[in-house]
Amino acid sequence: MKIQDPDAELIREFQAGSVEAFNDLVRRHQAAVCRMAYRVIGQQEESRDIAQEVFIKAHQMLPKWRFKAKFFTWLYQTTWNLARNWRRKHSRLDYYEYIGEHKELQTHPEAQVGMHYQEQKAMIKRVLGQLPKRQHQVVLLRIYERLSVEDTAAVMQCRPGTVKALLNQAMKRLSQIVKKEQTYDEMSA
Amino acid sequence: MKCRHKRNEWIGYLLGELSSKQQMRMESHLKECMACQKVTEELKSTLTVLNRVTPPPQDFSGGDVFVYEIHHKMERREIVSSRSRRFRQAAAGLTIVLLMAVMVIKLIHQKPDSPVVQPGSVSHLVKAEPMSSRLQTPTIRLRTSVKPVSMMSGPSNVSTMTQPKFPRKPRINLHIKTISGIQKS
Repeated sequence: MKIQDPDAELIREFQAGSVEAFNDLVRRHQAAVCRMAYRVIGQQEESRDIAQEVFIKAHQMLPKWRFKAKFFTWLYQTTWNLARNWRRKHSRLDYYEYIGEHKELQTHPEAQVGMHYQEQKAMIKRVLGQLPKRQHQVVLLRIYERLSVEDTAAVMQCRPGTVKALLNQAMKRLSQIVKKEQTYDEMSA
Repeated sequence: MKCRHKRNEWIGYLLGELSSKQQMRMESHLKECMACQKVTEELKSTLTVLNRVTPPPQDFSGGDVFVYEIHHKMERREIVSSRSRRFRQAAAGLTIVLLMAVMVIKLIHQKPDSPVVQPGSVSHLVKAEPMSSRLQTPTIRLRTSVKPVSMMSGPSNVSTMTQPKFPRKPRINLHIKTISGIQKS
């Protein structure tokens, strides 16, 4: 039995004139889109705005949707592009040192452990921000959003092999940094 | 000795993306291979650190309020865009009217090049210069009727008395004949 894509069903209903179908589509994906935007820009309010912008674009685009791709790949791609544009515009803002981060650290139970956790977290965040664009994207999609290699490739508009290679490069780089930090901690202990 | 298992496979293994059969095969290999153990340990620690970083707040999108806000934004934009569309249309209409008015005024006030008037000649056709090379206005034919000074100023003896030092310029009556296909008398 062929499993119907629920997004495709909702899009068909929306194309037939149902506003509620569009609302359902938004409800289905709003958390993922907000999360993705938040991962890129690191600000709660702004990421909400970006996510709404993505859905407004979807509202304009869906009447012409031809069901050749999965809807969520389009969503992730647009979210990534809008969030990256936002970050480029606000490049002066040090995005990993925003107010929310400090609030979160103060209230986080692991913040009691000491400075090590905070430093490591800030360091990884900084490194993630410094990764090349494609490597950063692949880490967000594969590690955080847990998309499959094929879906990630569809979002990034590349081949699955490229996704694997990019993730490999990103993980190598991150592993090196983590290892360096661990040896530094051992030496200082 | 280098192992045949690639780093990517171990990432898939740690992310739990493999089938149960593959997972078991990888596990049994891991018990024997030191190189792979090293790689997985390294990847594990990196993934642990990565998973600790920036956990996004739980469902901060705001449920139905989020949907309502989207519709509100779209309505607001629709109003703004319809206003700006109307404004653009009005501006375009006004521009066209102004351009036409300027063209008509220019055509009315345009003087032909001073024609070489032979005394005694009555009328001839003058081909005027186009108003502007950009606008490419069509050729305007102007019919001029020129009367000699002596004919305009009455009898010859009076004219010789009142005749100024320099000869008067001949009076030219302009009759626009054709302008871009529109007949004008």
